[in-house]
Amino acid sequence: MLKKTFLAIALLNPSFLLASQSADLLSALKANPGDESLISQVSKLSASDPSFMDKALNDMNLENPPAYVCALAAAVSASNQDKAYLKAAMLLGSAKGELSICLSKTAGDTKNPYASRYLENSIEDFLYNSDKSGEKDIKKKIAAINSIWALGEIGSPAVMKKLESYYNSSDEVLRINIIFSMGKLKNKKGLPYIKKIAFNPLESDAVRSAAYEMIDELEGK
Amino acid sequence: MKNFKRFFLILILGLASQAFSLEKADIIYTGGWFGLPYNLIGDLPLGHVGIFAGTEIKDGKIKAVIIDCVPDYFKPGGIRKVSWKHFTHNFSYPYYGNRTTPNKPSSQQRDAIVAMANSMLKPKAYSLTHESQKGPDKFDCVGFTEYLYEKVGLNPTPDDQDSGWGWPLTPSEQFYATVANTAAQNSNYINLIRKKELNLYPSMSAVKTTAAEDIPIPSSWQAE
Repeated sequence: MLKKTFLAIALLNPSFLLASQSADLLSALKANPGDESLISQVSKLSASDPSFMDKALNDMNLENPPAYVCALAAAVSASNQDKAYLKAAMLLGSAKGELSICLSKTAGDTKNPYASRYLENSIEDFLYNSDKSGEKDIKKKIAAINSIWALGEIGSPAVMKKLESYYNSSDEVLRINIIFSMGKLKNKKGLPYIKKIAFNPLESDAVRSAAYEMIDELEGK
Repeated sequence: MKNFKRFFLILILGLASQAFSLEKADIIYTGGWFGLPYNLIGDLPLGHVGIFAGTEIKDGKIKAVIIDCVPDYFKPGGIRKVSWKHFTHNFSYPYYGNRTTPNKPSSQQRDAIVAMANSMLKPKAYSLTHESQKGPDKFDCVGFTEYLYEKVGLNPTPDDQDSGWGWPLTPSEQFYATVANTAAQNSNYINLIRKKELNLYPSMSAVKTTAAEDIPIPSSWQAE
């Protein structure tokens, strides 16, 4: 009897219901990390309920599946709260493989203001510490490409020098992405450098074509 | 001596840039919206594929020519000729690289792929349901590139991977089945697959080419 009474009280208690609902929501997202509607619900609840935000941040760890962690990172970052951005950025710093690939993309999608340092680390890890003779490190390369892209999406002019420094060590695929990202930086900071690339006869036509196209974008043609 | 050094430097830089250069008929990859749960479409963030058709000079500028296939509601839609901006959906996705079949296309095959792609430019040709990926009347992006390669006797993805129910072939699968188009990387990647260190698609060990005459020609193309 006592057990049933306790259960009835618990079930009618709003905080218990909310806790149960939030646990269900996270479980549902874990099972379906690509579900935009669930990501949106997690985003709204984490913005309005600090305890739910903490639970979501707690689930953002290396033990959970990468797709779920990235869905959580996208959802909580949409709340524009520093602690969410910071957790996503710090996790990016220790992520490898698929998690690094999707967290770097998420950092760009959400324009995470704390991610630049970790994105730069990911690019440098590929450029200076990977096996580039084959495709053994292809996931490092994809993460580096996403990181270059994310730096452009975040758009801080401060990364221009870094992008310039990566250019000469990069293959054609990375160089094209570097041009795209330079073109997205605020204040058109990258324009003079992109012009140099476009007019450089030693550069490949494919890369120069990307530079010419970005110049047109920046000059509004 | 100074001139010699300068010549040598230019030569080295020239060779270096050529070594990684995109070639006509390379399959190129970018991101995209999948419409399917992440874990169903593979572990790479690839969502769109096209054929690099070379570069052209327009208004004194070098312009990339890319032929791809997108939903009809895009502007332009269907099988279309675009450049980097449209291929990457207004630069909203990264460019993930250029690849070919492990048996690299010859220059004649490359010319044939691009000529065929150009001849198929149509305003409406996309299979939104992905039921018809490789034609003959409708395509999706990845099926379109697969079709072009198969027409010249090459087979990027084993046939058991690109037929069947739903959306059998995804850009991620084609990416893994092909190789980066750089001489140094090709042999190593093939060896990796043979050793099954990547072991993602065991059927890759028995990649076969398909005779061109076995592949249906789209009726719209035949009419031309």
